[in-house]
Amino acid sequence: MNTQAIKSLLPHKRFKLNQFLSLKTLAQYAENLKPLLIFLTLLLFLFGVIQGFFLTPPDHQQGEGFKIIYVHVPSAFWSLAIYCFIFVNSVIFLIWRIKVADSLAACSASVGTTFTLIALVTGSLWGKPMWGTWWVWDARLTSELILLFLYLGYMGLRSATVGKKNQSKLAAILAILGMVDVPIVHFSVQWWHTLHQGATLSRFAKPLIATEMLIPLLVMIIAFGAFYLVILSYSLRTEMLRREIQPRTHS
Amino acid sequence: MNTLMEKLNQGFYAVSNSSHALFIWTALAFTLIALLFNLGVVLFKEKAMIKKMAQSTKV
Repeated sequence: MNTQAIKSLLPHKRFKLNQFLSLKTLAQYAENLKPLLIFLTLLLFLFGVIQGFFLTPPDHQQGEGFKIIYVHVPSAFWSLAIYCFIFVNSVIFLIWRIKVADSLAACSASVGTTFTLIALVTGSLWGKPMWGTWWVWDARLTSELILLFLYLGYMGLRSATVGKKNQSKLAAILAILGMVDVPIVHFSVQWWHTLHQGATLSRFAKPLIATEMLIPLLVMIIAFGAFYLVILSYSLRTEMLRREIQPRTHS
Repeated sequence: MNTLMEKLNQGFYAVSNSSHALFIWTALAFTLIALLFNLGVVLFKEKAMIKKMAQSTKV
């Protein structure tokens, strides 16, 4: 895509960062980028699934069963990343009262819940043939389950307080309190002896996975991220319309 | 192209005939269903909101 085409996607000629503080402008940007995001998501999923499930060799210990990694790791990664995003936006909303931050947090919750559920179910499906059990009350699994309850609680609180003055404030406080669980999920495999294996990918160490298995994994991680942006772009538009209908119900 | 199709065929049969086939297919199917369900819910909410918006402007 050339520069002219990118410029045509933007609603204003002069690019200013503070225009993203308006939900309308942000939703407009998301709306313009939606076709590109949908195309990218489909392309990456297709490549990742074909490459990961059918073209990578089997693992020397786990055989073909290890291929569940291509849906389990991306969903688990994004379940944590999205919660961090909700946390950051909740902090921004509570300090500076920026409504867009609250909208971004609200729109991210449903997809975060889906990713957490996928991580738990696919983890269980991977655990049965490898560990011999569907579920253990292991630190990693239990903390991830708590994350699912946090997401559900966050969404439940938002829907239970629709139209109330302090809806956004209460949701932001819950999101901030729930953040305690995220480092526990991440570091549980280091802090305690768990059945769950350690991190496959690390920022500082060399990956513990062969390159031909790593590439489709990275592609799937990006594909899940692109899917998240697609959902976010749809949700932002819905949120914008909702705020236009009920302009006085927000704190 | 033929080599790629052959490799894909081999990969598909390797997954399908492995002892973990049921777990792999279930994991993949569950993921796709969950993602599509999420997308469906979001689209439904958007449609409902557009309808609500149209009704509110009529009134």
